[in-house]
Amino acid sequence: MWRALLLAWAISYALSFPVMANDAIAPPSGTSVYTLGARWTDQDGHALRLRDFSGRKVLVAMGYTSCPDICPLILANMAAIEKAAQGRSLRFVFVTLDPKVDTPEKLKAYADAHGLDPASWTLLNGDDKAVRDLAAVLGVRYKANGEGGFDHSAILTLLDEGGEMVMQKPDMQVDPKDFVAHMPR
Amino acid sequence: MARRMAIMAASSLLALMPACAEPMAPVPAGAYTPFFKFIPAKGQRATEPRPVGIKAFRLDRFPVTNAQFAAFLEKAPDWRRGAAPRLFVDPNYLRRWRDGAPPKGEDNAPVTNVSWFAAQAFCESLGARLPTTDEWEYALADAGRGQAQVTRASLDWFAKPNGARIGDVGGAPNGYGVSDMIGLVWEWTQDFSATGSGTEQRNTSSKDDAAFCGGGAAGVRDPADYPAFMRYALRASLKASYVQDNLGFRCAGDE
Repeated sequence: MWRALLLAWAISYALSFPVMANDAIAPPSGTSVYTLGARWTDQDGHALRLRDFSGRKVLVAMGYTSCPDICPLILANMAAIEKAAQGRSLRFVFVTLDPKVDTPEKLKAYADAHGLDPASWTLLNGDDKAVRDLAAVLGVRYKANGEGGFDHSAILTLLDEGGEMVMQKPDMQVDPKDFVAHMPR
Repeated sequence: MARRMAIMAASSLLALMPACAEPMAPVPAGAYTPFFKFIPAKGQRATEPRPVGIKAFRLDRFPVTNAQFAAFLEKAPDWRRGAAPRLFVDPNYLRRWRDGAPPKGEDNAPVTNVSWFAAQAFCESLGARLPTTDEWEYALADAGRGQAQVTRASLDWFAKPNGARIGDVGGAPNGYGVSDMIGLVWEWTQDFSATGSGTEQRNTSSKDDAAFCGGGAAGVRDPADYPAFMRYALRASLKASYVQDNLGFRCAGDE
């Protein structure tokens, strides 16, 4: 009886501190994307750091919501990978290159409009430096095009549970099977 | 000991610098026409380049020197060779330095073998930033003064064999009071990666074709400006963690 009560208390105590579990994760290695320490805001207005994704594989891409052409294709490719990778606990992260315009509210509306499941999709807004540093790490080249948009490369990057880059696809010729091959069940 | 000497060298460097009260020169606002026109997607024609407005800014009169970088490392040990994360620097970072000190006799030469991240960290430690590519090119253009001299100096520099010791900073200033933009080292810019971003790219493996291959000459302000092709081609070839024996930087600030 006492043992059962003690066990129940221990479990409830542990579950009441989900952040503690995250803090227990080892610091990122010298090559982990999670070495970047910037703070971001997701589409629900929650503050987070990239290392908060530790423990799951992450597929990350950069674009912006008013992007007329390539970003919908990026999302379509990510969605195809999502479908092919069902049951593999993959997180999808879309980072805006246009943080002044793509507020969290706008990102939320964009996610809703594209039917992105909030259980597995995170859309991120950060300051200019955070965006510039992440783009530099991922090799995403971009510049304002003078017409309110951006010219940018379309790169899908798969990160492992520690934030190490496992695979990059620098074009739109995406075969979801190539990504799934890096995600054994 | 070697690091202490580097710090002393940094202090003495200030005394050696040409007599300028401020390390940064004020660069007035103006209009600047980028070298590249809008880079077209395959099968499209380039549109005419549009002048962009440049706000007044400040720019280091000289490239950052080895002694200045050594002084930075004293305050920021996380950026020493061996300590800086591999995500931010490639294995050749500060490869010619020993025990935290630059090669003997090169305190007053531009620091090289520094990544974009390290350069950015240096500038941020001073409350500054890297110049944008437009700002850097605008300062080099010098309102049209001495353009022929810049081209000649560039070609002379390109003709020098690799491996020669990089000279000390302290060259003659241009009309804005900025020196050594040409002739010693290539320089990082904040948005170096904008070169080669092309239009929205479906195939980034061929991103630079329109800028640097046969079509390149049709897409630029002045097809005869070979040094400008070289500068933009170099930027397009870089990644943020890369370092090179002849790649340094200088900092900028807002007015």
